[in-house]
Amino acid sequence: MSKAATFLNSQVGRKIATGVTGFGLVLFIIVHLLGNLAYFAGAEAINTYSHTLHQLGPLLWIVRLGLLAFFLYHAWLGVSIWLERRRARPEKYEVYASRGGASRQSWSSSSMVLTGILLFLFVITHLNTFAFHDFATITYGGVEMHDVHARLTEVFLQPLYTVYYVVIMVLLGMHLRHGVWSAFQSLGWMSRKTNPIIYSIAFVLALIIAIGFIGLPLSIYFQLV
Amino acid sequence: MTASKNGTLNSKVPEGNLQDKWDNHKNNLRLVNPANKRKFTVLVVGTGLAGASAAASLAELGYNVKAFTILDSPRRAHSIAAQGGINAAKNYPNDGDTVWRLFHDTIKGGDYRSREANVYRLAQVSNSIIDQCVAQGVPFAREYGGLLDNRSFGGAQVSRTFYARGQTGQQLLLGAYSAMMRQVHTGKIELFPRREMLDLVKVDGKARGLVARNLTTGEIERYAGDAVLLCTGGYGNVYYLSTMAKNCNATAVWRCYKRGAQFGNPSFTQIHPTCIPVSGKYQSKLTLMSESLRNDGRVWVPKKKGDNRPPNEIPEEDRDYYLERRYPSFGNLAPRDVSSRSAKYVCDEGRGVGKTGLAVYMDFADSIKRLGVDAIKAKYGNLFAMYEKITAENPYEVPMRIFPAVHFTMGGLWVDYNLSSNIPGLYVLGEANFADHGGNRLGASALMQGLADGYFVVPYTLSDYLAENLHSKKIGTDHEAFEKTEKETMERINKLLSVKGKKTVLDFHRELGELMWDNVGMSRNRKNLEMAIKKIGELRDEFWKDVNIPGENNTLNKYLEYALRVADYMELGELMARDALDREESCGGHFREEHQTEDGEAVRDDEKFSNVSSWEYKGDDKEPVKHTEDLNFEFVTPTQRSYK
Amino acid sequence: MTIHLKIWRQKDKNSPGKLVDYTVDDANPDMSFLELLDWLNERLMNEGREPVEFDHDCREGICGSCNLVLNGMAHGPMQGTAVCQLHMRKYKDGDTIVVEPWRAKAFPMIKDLVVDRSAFDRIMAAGGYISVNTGAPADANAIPVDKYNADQAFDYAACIGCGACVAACPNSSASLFTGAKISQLAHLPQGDPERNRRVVNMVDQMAEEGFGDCSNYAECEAVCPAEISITSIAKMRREYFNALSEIE
Repeated sequence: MSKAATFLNSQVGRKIATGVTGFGLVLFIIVHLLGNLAYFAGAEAINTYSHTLHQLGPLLWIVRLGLLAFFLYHAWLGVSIWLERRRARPEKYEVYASRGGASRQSWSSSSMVLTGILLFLFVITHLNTFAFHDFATITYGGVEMHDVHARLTEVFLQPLYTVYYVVIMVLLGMHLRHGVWSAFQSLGWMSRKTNPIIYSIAFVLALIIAIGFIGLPLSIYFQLV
Repeated sequence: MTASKNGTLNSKVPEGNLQDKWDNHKNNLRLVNPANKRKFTVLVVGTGLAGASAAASLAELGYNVKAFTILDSPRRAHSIAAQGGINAAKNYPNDGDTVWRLFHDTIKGGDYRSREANVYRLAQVSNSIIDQCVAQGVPFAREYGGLLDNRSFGGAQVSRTFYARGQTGQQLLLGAYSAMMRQVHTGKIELFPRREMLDLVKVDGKARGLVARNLTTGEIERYAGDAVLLCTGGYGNVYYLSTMAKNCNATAVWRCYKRGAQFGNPSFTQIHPTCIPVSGKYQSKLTLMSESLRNDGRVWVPKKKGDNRPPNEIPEEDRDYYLERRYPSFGNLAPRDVSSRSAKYVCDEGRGVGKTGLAVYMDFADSIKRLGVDAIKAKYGNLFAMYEKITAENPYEVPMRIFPAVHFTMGGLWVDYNLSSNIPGLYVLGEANFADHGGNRLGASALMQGLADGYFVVPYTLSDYLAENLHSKKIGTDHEAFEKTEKETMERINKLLSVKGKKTVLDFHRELGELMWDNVGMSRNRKNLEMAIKKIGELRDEFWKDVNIPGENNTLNKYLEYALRVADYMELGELMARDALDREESCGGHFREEHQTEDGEAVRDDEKFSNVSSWEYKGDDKEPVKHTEDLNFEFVTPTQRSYK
Repeated sequence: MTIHLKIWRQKDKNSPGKLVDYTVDDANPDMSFLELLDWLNERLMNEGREPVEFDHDCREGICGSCNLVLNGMAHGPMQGTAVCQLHMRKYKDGDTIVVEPWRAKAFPMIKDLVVDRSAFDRIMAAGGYISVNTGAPADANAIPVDKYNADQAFDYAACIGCGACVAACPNSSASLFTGAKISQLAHLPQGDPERNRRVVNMVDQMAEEGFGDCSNYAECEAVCPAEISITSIAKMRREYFNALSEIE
């Protein structure tokens, strides 16, 4: 116990924990994205997919609770590291600038806490919009299930919500642009050779995820599907 | 006429064969038992290679060590700037090196003005130094097989130089520093950064403590101990411009001199031939370019005076490759003192190059043609980049401009074989002592000496002294000697602050430096030395009447620190000139124009000057008295150096 | 050339500081930045004003004493260059340069541009060494080190301990400094016996000194005069993880 506590309280341990939880959340996001893409295969596909997930029962709850724990811990670590930095430099520079070159300071890395907080707020509204919403039902082959497809279509035909969602997904992309690379570095999986490669892969991954998530609402809004 | 006492110094060199002296001596040195070691406190001043290695080694043995550095961290001592490497007689390349050969090269390189026994011991312990440093994790260069790499350095015929890229001094110092920090952690070393030793405290003729200025608060602090180790480096900054760091200074050694410690061979200064030339009055220090460049660079100046054409437009027949012309067998690899002097001569003739006329070309065009740019880049890429950073000239296309600069001082406080000064309890290590390099130091030997003194000599010899003093009374900092010394120090500071004159410390230092460089530099003569002594005296008087020091004592005040140092240079500079005047011969870095052959080569006088000149302070208004220690060469035969 | 300077002046830790304007109208492009400050100080003293205090020593980029933030960048704009090696030819006539000290809680202010970096020494004392007494270690060649590891160790050992990594880090983290020493010793067989204790103790000391966490901004690598890579930080994390699973 004390060893684990020592680890989790250390600067290195906190960073490793941020990386591990970050990776967990990225994994979830990827699965979620794949699920979303089922919409393009038609109403039955996505409704059945959603129904199958719900059939998992207790397992689903374990995953949900685990995800929640990861999410909260990840957020708490991020915020506490951010608070720590104010303590570590009580007097700010009059002028501060990045040297560029090897620096990874960017819009993305400098706004991790901000994008993180916005994502946190988004998740609450997002759960409210979808998970905790009363769904209409639909029956396929005698099995009654939630009509997720109808709800999605309904929501993303509203211009305001769609804009909000797209903006948040851009922020998610930004968060991941630094986050994915950073998690590799935090877990120590980085060498001089792999560093630039992973930095580029992280960019591509963040871009794919962001575009993937943005694709669905825009397709619905512009009635492309 | 200088008052002198000949042969009055006892070097305490042990009897016996050269090879056995150190071992025999160690057998006879008294020991302090472990329980008693913790009763002793040793004050180590300076944390360069000598200081850090001594502090760590003594603390490991169980002594209480207090270590002082003028910088904010021990890791910044100027040993860190040494580039080339460190010599050892390991003979790993199997090229015939031996302890004897390293000894012989060093004593010959020093132009037979060092003590045989000391130099032999240095060569003997050189191998242990490498072992020690490797065990500490110093990342020396290695070959693919995992074994250590060696290179030839400074014209040596064998490859005995160990190196860590161009940063050997840094890596060795960080090794010694880390050993020291380990002892700081155990509590055996107490570290005092930003402290400057301003005087030695003597009780009953023995060194028993020091007073230091806390450079942050200005407070004068007292520290008592059973012995004081001075590891404070050389005094090249007397010349104002040198390759030394800005904070290197002579105050600690000079204050000890004024408390009775004798100063050995003060005029022996090494002037390194390959430095980046001065670019203007604002120049604050000089940067060395590694000597290794001379392996492929050809040194030249225009044949005609005042030839202002750009170097690439001067045709071959209008160039004078003066080193190759004068020294056909050594050419561009002629020793440091010879190359430096030759550069001075051609510039004195008005053939110097660059804006100031105080530079010569070092040209890589032929080597680039012969070996290709890539080969040159692989060898010297870092150095070329550094040169370009400083001068904004690309040495691949335009020849480098170089000029000699003060680099090392072979002189220092006189010490015996035990590294003890003539004040019991005051030990002097590394560049601060006069001991091992004679009239000229060989490349890659300074690092060796600093670490030899600290790791492998002083831990033995100090125990002998402490064992003898086991029962002497402990002295506290409330002793009247501390009171008195502190008061004198305060008076000196207040006197300086109260001058409130018009000229800055820098003005004075620059003037002193010019006097020293012109008259006590690469080439010296009676007339100029006598004039310099007079002018330094006048400048000193002016300094105490007209120096402008800003601020107060009770705060960080770097210009006050600086003023205290320059005040001491004003006195030391005069002693250097006196010593140079007294030594009527040319040897190593000391070249007296009166003593040269028809074609301008140095002439040593072994009859009269096969000795150490050691100067004793007699009072501010009296001339110092010279003592000599005869150098008896039992094992080697001094020969005249020739590089023709 | 004319250079306008805005220099941070602060009497001591307890007094408030502020930027003060100065103009040097006869700067020379061949001057180093520190020589410009010398030049300014000479003038200030001749006018009876107090000179600017700043740390400096070797002025050839190896001792790590100099520590100035110029226009918000530690050691100024040139890559791989300590501020003592920065020459005025990098600037244009009429440029304005804001000069500030390293700012971090772990580097308390002393005066003007001088701060106390002894926290680094304490991190080193916590474990930045190999415990070997002076005496008779084995012959140097008894411990072969393959060239790859020897070169890696050297790259990390090149740290000059200036503290630019901390100064430039938005979080004031000392991870690059600490990681460099840990990585150097982790690449050498001599460092192996103490590797677990070393990394744990040094990392703990780093936090105790009040340095912030690392957020992988890599600004430290960008400003490092020795160009130490942040792979040292990755290495430190691996070492730390392994250490905790191995030590009792």
